[in-house]
Amino acid sequence: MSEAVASRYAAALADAALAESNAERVRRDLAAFVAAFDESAELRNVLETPSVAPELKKKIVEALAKRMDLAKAVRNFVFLLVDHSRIEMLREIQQAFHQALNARLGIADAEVTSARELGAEERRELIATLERRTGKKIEARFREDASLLGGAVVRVGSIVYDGSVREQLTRLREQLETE
Amino acid sequence: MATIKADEITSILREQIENYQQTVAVDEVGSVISVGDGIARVHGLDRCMAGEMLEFPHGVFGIALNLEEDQVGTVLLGDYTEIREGDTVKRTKKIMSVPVGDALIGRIVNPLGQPIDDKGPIVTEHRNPLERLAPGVVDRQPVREPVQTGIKAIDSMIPIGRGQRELIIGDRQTGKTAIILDTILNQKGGDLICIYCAIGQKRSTVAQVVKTLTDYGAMDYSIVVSASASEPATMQYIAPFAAAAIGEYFRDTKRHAICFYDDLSKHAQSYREISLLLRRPPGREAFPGDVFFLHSRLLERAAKLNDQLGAGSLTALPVIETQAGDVSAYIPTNVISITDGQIYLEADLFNAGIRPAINAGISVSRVGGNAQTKAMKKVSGTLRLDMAQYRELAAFAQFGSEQLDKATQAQLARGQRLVEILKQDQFQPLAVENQVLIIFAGGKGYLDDLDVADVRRFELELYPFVETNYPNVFKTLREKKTIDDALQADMIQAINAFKERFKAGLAAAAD
Repeated sequence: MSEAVASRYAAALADAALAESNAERVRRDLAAFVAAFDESAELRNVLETPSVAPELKKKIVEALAKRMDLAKAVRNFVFLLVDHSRIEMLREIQQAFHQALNARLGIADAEVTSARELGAEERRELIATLERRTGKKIEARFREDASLLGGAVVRVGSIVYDGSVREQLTRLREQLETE
Repeated sequence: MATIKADEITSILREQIENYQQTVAVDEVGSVISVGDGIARVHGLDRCMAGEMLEFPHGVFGIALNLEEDQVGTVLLGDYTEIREGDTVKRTKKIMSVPVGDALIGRIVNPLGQPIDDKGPIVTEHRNPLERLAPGVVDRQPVREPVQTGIKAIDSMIPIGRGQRELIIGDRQTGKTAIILDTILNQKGGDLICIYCAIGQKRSTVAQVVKTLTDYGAMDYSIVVSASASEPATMQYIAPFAAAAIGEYFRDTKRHAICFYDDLSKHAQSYREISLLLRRPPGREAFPGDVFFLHSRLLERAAKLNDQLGAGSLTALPVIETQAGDVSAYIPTNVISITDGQIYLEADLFNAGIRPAINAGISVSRVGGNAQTKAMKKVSGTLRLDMAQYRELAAFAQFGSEQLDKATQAQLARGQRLVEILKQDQFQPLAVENQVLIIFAGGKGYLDDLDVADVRRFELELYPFVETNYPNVFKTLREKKTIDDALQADMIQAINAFKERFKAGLAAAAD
């Protein structure tokens, strides 16, 4: 439910940011505002409590936006959230916005898990291969997991490319069991 | 058994391992958001198909039923207690299907087609999808061959044809399953494959049915699909579809099969359970809106195929259990309107000793008459009418029969004897030629001068008498399936001859 709400706000913001063609700045500024929001319990309290009038909240946001030099789209967006009392969903919205913007820019998040740390050359090659395969720009995050024994597992969206030694052993066992 | 050396095994294994294709497994996955009551909500699986099989950990499978914006609602088949939030769910890219084929005959399977009778694995290469579109209009033809149930009241007044859908409806304990069992037993030596699908029944009841079938040698041409009451609602929901899929294999290979869905009331209840857990909006009696479609698409799969497609057939005999005779409840009205007629069983008749407790007045078969043999059609033509008039008069005559005129009394006497000859013991299916003979005798009034109490004994003793002394009668009926003048004369002669002997026996006993 809340996920659906967050994705709607995020989609609207992504469209607005792309229309003004300052998407990367909006992304950066929104992240900065969320960081401030996360860091300061006082700011969270003020913005989330219903006992503070929306007008006052907006004044505070306005002042903050000036100090932090936020893009106009981000400032207006936070105003909107204040008006709709959705400010407590800010973090979810930021995540959804990140995904929505990537989808619009043809960028795919990839989660790469490998048995050992990959070198720079290997990473570059892996990303190039993934980009060829998916036809999208890949933004990869790397993790290590020794239990894979060897090889790597790549997850792009809901598709998993499993080239790990562990998976191959599992399949070999299944194959030997069935024959 | 040829011995194999240990190092030979090693070399085979090594060969396997060396030739093992090193490929990257590409899977589409999602993760479990929540699980409970046999339902799992899964995040991800963007391209999942409706009705697709999904693989959960620990070898559990699920069916995707609800495709939503950010999640997939699935029903789980099997033990879901080990599935945890966050578990990975894999797409299989396959629609749910069951193994079908001749190997299933004589077996007891669960709705997934897995054997549950301890007789080893079922080896067959054919699979049919659970949900399949029913044959179209041009693929069909009207029913033309009969399904002989071996029950006099049904074969004469409510005949069933191959490819027909005939509902058996009645309260609990009125003999619904008994009719099914008699029908299955009567197919012995025939070409009809019987598929009995138990939905939400007690395991002991299913075991009883299987024992009866085994004792009478009926498992040789039967398949039992069982989803008992202790199994999850999902299994009960797919059980009749599995049975239909198994039956379709025979239909499509130019043979004849009959499916008994026992019973669809429980099936509707299990579907209601699943639907409510998936948060589909409830409608009348809390059933979901598509419960009509659920049963209509199931029963539509019963068909008589046209000659180009091999003229195979799948007959469906669904069962509905009513509560206190209420046929206007939601599910009974639905299924009545889908089927080509219904056999209506009544508790009052059952308790009055009329068994099978078929109410001939409101039981109908809309298409089966075309499939009746000529002989049966001829003798049973007036039977329905006689019975209807008798019921009307009987209700009236309850207030005292002394003042009634002769014609009315004769009508009442005829009716009482007809009711008597339509009674039949369980597990005593009767060949069609025997049925024709006794209904002929009753309908033409040859029994009117017998005591009502003697009619059943007369019937039972008539068959062996005719078989030994007038074998020609049964033989001609069996072969020609029609009654010409010569045969009719023979039948009358046989009946009269036996009646004389029977009356002499009665007189001797009275002395």
